Amino acid sequence: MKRKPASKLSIARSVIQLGVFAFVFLGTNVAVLAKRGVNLPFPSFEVHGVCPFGGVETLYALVTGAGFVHKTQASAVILLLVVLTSTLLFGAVFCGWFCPFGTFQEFIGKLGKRLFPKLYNRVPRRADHVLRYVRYAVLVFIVVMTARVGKLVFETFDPYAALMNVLTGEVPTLALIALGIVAVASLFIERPFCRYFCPFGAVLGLVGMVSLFRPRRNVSTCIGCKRCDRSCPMGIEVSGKDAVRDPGCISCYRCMSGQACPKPDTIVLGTRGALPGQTSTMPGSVQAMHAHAAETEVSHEN
Amino acid sequence: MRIKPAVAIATTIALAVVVIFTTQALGIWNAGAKDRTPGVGADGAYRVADLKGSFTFAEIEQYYSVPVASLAEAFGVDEIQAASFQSKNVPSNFAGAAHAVNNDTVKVFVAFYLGSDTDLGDGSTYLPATAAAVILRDGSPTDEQRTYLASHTFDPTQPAANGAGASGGANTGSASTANSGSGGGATDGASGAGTGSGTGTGSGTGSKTGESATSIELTGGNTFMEVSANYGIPSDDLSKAFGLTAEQYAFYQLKDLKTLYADSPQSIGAGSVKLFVALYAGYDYDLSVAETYLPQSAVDVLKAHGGLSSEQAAYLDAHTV
Repeated sequence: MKRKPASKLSIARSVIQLGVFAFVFLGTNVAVLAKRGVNLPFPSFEVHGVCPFGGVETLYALVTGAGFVHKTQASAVILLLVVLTSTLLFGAVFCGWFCPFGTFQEFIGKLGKRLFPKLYNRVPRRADHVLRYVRYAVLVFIVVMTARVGKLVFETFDPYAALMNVLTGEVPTLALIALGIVAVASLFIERPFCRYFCPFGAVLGLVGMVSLFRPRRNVSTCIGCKRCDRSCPMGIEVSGKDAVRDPGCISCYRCMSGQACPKPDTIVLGTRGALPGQTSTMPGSVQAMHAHAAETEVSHEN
Repeated sequence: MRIKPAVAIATTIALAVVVIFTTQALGIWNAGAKDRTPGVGADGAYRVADLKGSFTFAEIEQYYSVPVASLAEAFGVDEIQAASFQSKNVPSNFAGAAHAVNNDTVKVFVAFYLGSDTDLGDGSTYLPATAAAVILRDGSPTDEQRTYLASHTFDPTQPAANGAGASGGANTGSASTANSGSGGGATDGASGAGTGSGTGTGSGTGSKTGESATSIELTGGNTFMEVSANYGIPSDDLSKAFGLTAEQYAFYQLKDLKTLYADSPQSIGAGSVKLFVALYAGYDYDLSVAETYLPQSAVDVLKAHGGLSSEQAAYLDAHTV
């Protein structure tokens, strides 16, 4: 079976991801490049100034009147509000479409998928389930310690800041090690940092659980082919849900009809009541028959 | 209600763009821009006083129109590396010379080259003969500046009086960029027994290890835990020296000292930690290379630890904040 050509949405997503990555990397390093004689007409900023998680980290200090934690800026809080608003509306689209570190992992993952197809995404289900709680512990640790110490404690081992500041030569060793581990792990697991360790992903995942629009599955047309499951970068079992209310969902929309789902109007982005009936009444054997029919249909299309 | 995913993304982008531009227009947006551009004076030119030590010669040319080649010749920097050479690294080319050469010297050089006003302070800034020659040959100094040059120029190839060992251990990595004709810093760094240079500074004595402090590789990105682990400084002493709580010790990087000591009249940063490590662990440390300050608590720890020479102790007494 030929490989399905990338959809317009998929291409747009890659363009946005790479564009945001390039923008943040250049903006963070334009001053460093100038030191090396490369002067670029580009706005210069701190990586923490354009990271909405900085808004989370500095929130306690702001509320208690201590001002911004060092290196965080008003821009981080503004971006946090924008991201939270979009998450309340559409889920964690920041993670799936804009986060430069998610992009970094995802593109390494594309390489890993080709190099190690048999080893890719083979995390035992139980281990995967337990590890998904780690990012909440990371979040609590960082928020509490930042409040107590009054500085960005995460910076010491933040692989994202290490990636963006790698040209400065002033990256903490622990952060560089963390970056190396994430890069290697990304060859074998899709978005390992997002899945298991990202504290901001933990925040957005929880907020996204009450989002207005979310991927919803039409059980009456679903054929149970499980392509949605296989397409999910966060390993969510979409085929078993009426609506994706998983805190791991990054709203990449790869599972949707027109993307991974071969049946039109079967997985759609909508509010409650966007689909008729949310409870599956289709017996498994019937779903399997539909799945086989759809596979054949798609093969012929290609 | 259903929407297409593209609508969700377009809405998110539109929301972000509107909010960012609105807050920028309202003056709320601040992303910590690393704006290194010097301020502009009344004459419309960039202020020489704003020339930062982190400026490369290429940036100095960009802002002040002093050619990189002239800067390289004046301060004995290899032309190939001159564009990326930072002003703050100039001292490494003049270690052991009769007078200190640093970023202030570069400022005076640039001001004289342009013939623009500059604050000469107490007149303690001396220019190497190579720099003076470039100014007189290619620059536009005022008559007053020419007069100043006549009495404030020194031969960088001549070592400091009574300072045979003044450059001990000062041959830093960047000294390799010095032209042989102008860099007094090309002396052997093995010894460390100088008694003081013409400017009243000198190198450390009484080294326990004989190893140069240039082998201490510390940057602002290092954490205190790394310093402790790499140089065998007990965490208690390091924390006490720089006034760190246990949590700060665990998470602070050396560059965070600038925030911690933001109110200090003198800069406390990675250089201070390097000095502390060198004196604590007994490395040779050339005290004439730069004016480095330590907090009182660090000086107390060093004195309690012992092993300081009288010269080092005197230096610390004069460099405590």
